[in-house]
Amino acid sequence: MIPYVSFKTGKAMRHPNDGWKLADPFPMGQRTRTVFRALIRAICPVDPTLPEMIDRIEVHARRLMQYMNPLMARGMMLAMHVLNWSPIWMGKNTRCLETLPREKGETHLDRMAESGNSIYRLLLLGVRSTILSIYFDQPEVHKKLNYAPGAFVRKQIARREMSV
Amino acid sequence: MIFNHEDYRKEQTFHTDVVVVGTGAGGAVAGAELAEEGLDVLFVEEGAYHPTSSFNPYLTESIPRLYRDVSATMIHGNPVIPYVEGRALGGSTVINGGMTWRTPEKVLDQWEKVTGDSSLGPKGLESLFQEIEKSIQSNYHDKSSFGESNRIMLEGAKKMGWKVETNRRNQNHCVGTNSCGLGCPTGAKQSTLVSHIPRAMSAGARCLTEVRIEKLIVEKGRCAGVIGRAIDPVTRKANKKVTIRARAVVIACGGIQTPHLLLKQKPAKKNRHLGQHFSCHPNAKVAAIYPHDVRAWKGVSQWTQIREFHEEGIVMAENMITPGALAAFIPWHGKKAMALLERYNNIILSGVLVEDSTTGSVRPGLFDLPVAKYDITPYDHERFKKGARLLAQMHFEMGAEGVILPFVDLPYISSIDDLKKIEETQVSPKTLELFTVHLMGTARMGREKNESVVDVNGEFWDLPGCYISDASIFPTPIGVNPQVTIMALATRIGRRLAEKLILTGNKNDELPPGDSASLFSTGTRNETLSVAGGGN
Repeated sequence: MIPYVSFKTGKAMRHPNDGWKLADPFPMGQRTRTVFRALIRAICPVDPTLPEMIDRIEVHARRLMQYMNPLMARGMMLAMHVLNWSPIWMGKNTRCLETLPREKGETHLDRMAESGNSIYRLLLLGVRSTILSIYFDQPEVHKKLNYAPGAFVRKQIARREMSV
Repeated sequence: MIFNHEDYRKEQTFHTDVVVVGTGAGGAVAGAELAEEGLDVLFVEEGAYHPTSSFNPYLTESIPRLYRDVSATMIHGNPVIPYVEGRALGGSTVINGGMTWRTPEKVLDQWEKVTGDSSLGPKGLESLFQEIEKSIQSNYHDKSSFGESNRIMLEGAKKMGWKVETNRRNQNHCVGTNSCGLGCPTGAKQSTLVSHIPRAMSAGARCLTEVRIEKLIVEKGRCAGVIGRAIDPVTRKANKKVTIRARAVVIACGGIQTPHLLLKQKPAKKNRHLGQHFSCHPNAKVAAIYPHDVRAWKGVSQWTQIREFHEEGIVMAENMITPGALAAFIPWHGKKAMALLERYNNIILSGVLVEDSTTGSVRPGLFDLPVAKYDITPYDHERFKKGARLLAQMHFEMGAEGVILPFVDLPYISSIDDLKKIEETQVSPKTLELFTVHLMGTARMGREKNESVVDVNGEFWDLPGCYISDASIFPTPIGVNPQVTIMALATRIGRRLAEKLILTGNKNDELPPGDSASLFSTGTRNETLSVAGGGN
């Protein structure tokens, strides 16, 4: 039995030790994983720390997919494959995205993002938002942005505790 | 007592006076009222229990804990509108901005007329508003919680000659961590997690977390309980059956989940208003890039609202979000995304909220996915254009060097002269990027069965014993943040239901010796508040 502790503040830690665990990664075959990793490379900004971040982004994205409605999660996997083949079916290249150089992949996705066709944009939206939200939440990237919310929040918790 | 997944047997039945499905503004408040009247209350929450001590400012850790479907939820229509809902003990009150606006008087006048009940009018609800404001500590902010973005927004509005009002919020010594959307880590925001749920627990209420309700039990034309399944937090499989038998059922799952649940039940389906009249206060983002550091993530979120255009149904405010959330909003990736986010400390995110001029619908879809539909009208489109133009103009007047607009084909402008491009290029709502958090009206309250879903006491016309206590019962959209309105109605529904149940006798005397008695007895009212299990 654990006491009901709604009011007690913590240390604003990234992985709070409250006994709750994140879900296992959403099951994904090797083929889809390869495509997904190619999309991560094309969508994330070029960054010397990216190679070691790719695993983290992939695994965390798959964890997040476990919380989605299964139809949405499966739809997202389908969208990854459709995006992978999009240079071919859009008639822009003879190769799929996973075999294109990173810069060309990024440029191709730029074209889709800026397209007047809302279906292209929607296709990209879910995958891109998931990847970028994880990338921009990594400690290395926070440091690069000069963004340190943990330290600030801890300071404010202490400040409030002195005033209440 | 709070139970989680590991506490349930493979199949388990609970007995109680009232089962309350949902623990947000509607569920927790109604449940607290019922428990304090001496009734046995059992809350059921699909999300888990996350105490204040677990809240942190990291998006990807907080989203799966606190948000339904990690926010991968959208309203279909022209344009598609992403929306978010809370899924944790405390519901959306854990992740909302904490605004405590009362329902506008003109809206309440209309409600009084529509329902024929003066207790739903401005005078009738006055004392309930006062009570709620006291219980959630609706206060103005202390000046020390302000940040630079708050100052710029206020100065900007003054420069434009606009009417600005400071927000009252449910907070006790807020210190401006700007973390409202990820759970308040200081405990200042008085979400139901720290206000009404502890009250209900002190009065003996119990809470089943990590249980998703899938069905209502209907016996002899009455709602006699609910059936759900417990979700394993690691595998996300719903693998344990939980049945709750009760004298009354209160559904408080919000404007989309409530009709979604009820439309799957036979007696409910025949009500032609259920799932209709959906309104959602859509809003659009306008992000300004300043030449100097603003650090909008320091300081209170939405200190003020610009209400100069409220009569036209337009409200504007600032609301900073984390870099990860901002990156998910912008139409760029790769180097363009980094070029913008490198200036995160220079950005103020503001938004335009437009009061609904139309309604949509909610119905069940495949794989238990609710399908919400909503198309904005040409009038709404014009108001979004106007709101975005005015807000961008204000930012330029305050020295912004560029503004990100909510238009797919006009995402960025770099000077005040570019504002004319909005009129030139924006001809269809298809290119508008919207977002929403206020979901309402899908089970509206009314005086006649043929024009509403619930009566003035919140009881479902087509299913006696089933009550609804959330924003879905609003007879019309309200045009302001709905928290206080939901809470006032929930207080009323809870009290009236308690009165009725007390008059009809104590159910515990009639309870059969169910299997719940062995593990989870109902006699826990005077025990220390506690959580069984404690995670896995």
